[in-house]
Amino acid sequence: MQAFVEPLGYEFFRHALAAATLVGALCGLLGVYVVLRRMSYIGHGLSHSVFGGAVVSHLIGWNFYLGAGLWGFLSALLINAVTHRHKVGADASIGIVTTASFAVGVALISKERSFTRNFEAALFGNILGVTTGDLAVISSVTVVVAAAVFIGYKQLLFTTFDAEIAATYGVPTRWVEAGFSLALAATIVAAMNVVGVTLIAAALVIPPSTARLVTDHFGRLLSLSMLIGAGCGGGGMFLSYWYDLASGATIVLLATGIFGIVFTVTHLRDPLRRSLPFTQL
Amino acid sequence: MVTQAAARPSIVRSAPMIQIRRLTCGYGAVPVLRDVSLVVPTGQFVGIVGPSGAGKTTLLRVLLGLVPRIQGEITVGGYRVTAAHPPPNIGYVPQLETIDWTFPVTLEDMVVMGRTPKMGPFPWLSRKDRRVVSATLERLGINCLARRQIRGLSGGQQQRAFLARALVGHPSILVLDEPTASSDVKTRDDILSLLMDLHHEGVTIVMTTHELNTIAAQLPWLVCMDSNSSVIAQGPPCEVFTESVLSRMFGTRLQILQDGAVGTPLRPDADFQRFLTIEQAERIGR
Ligand SMILES: Nc1ncnc2c1ncn2[C@@H]1O[C@H](COP(=O)(O)OP(=O)(O)OP(=O)(O)O)[C@@H](O)[C@H]1O
Ligand SMILES: [Mg+2]
Repeated sequence: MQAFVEPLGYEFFRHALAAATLVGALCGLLGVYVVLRRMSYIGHGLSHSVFGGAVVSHLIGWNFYLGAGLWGFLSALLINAVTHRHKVGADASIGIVTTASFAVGVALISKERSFTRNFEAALFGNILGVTTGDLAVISSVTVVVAAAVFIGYKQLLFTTFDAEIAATYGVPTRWVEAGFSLALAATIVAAMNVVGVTLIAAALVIPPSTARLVTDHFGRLLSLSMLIGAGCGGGGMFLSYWYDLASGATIVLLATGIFGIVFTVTHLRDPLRRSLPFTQL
Repeated sequence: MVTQAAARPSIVRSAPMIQIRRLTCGYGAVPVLRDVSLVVPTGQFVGIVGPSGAGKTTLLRVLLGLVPRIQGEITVGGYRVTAAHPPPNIGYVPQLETIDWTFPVTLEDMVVMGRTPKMGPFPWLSRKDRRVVSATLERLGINCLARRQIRGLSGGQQQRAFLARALVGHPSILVLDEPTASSDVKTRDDILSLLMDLHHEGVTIVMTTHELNTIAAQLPWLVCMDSNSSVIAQGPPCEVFTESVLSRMFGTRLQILQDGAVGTPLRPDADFQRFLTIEQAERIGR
């Protein structure tokens, strides 16, 4: 008990705990769509791309959230456009756009050694780094994204299931996809301080994959994935404090451990269900 | 005044619902359809037949604005169709191969999608939505499967689920890609008579099928395509199902057998009762 109470005495830890829990839930929510749209790779690329935007906006003296968010959104739109146009080359194009953007960030950092520490935090997540301002941004992004998913639930579900046919039923799929890209970019920027760029994709993918093992029902999948995400975020923070580990890595490892356990249990209980939660992850 | 008002409905009825004018389109550099023209009057029930790869699916997708256009024009219900402007109030049942069956939705969730444009801003269904959805499931006999994940349905059940999704929005045009594939005889007959009912209610229907005897021959109007994606004949089955059209369509000789030679008619009231079979049937004994 004492082990739980003690860290809560520190303000930085309370901030970090709240941030990690919110970010976990947020990633769990959007992750369901990311995984169902087979966009895991895009989530991964986008977070690296955002890193480049963060460095550039720091250098030109812009607000981090504004610069990185805008950069991420533009990358996401670019990726969307590329995916629509050339189905075959999409993977390669995404790889080029996002790694180039990441490389810009790395190159600029290596030149300006002074802020290496900050960006290490951006890469791997930093439990100490969460300020009240960060927390306000994370809360706002969570509320706005959750509200948008709620209001656009039907349109987003149909677009995720089959975008082409959704369009013929009058769903404005282009807007839905652009809105989703914006939400994803905002989520990645918000999650950067907590999970770190390199591990955001895992925070997006593992909770929905775990939830998918236990339910076939879309509504339940959403809430369960958010719950797992939030639990891993909060739980990971405690583990990270106790064992003095990087917060992002701890959150992701905890989530992976839970996935492993659920996977084993569901397969022991139901040996016929030998398929992976999502084919072609 | 009176005569004008009386005349209006007949003008509306005779106006074509679908008009394709000299259309050339395709997915890449090589066009799939070349210079195709087609007119479908409002309320007509049209079957599209032809060999595999003829471009039947492509022709249907054209109506929805899903195929990049190279030349020509498509109007549906008076609207010019483009990729950005699919026609309003259209129900589409795709060929089953294109569906992601592992997607975690129940049959009911999937059917509800078809009502998306008519629903309010909240995720849940209004009482009216609920009534429409359950009536549609009832009509198609899949009410008891509502809570099943879509992967856990048989081929015929999946077909009916997609038909239900097309119907819950009460479309004025139905576009169906092989809606009776993988259905058993009874289901196929049920689907056909349901479509006939909708046809009599005034819904314009365009449908592809590979079943010449049991489906195509029962329809009021057929469009025949050959392997070069050209429309080679149009008209009621009794006119277009000639040995010459059939052999041009499929590149093999087909024998036309008269009613009763092979089996009994599917629908006793159908006015066209000729049956077709490939030439081996002749050897088995006519
Ligand atoms: N998405 C696509 N990209 C490129 N070519 C395509 C695409 N879809 C179809 N085609 C080509 O267009 C032609 C017509 O295909 P279509 O699917 O319309 O045939 P079909 O008559 O519906 O065949 P089936 O009876 O087997 O369903 C084929 O040669 C096919 O290879
Ligand atoms: Mg086809």
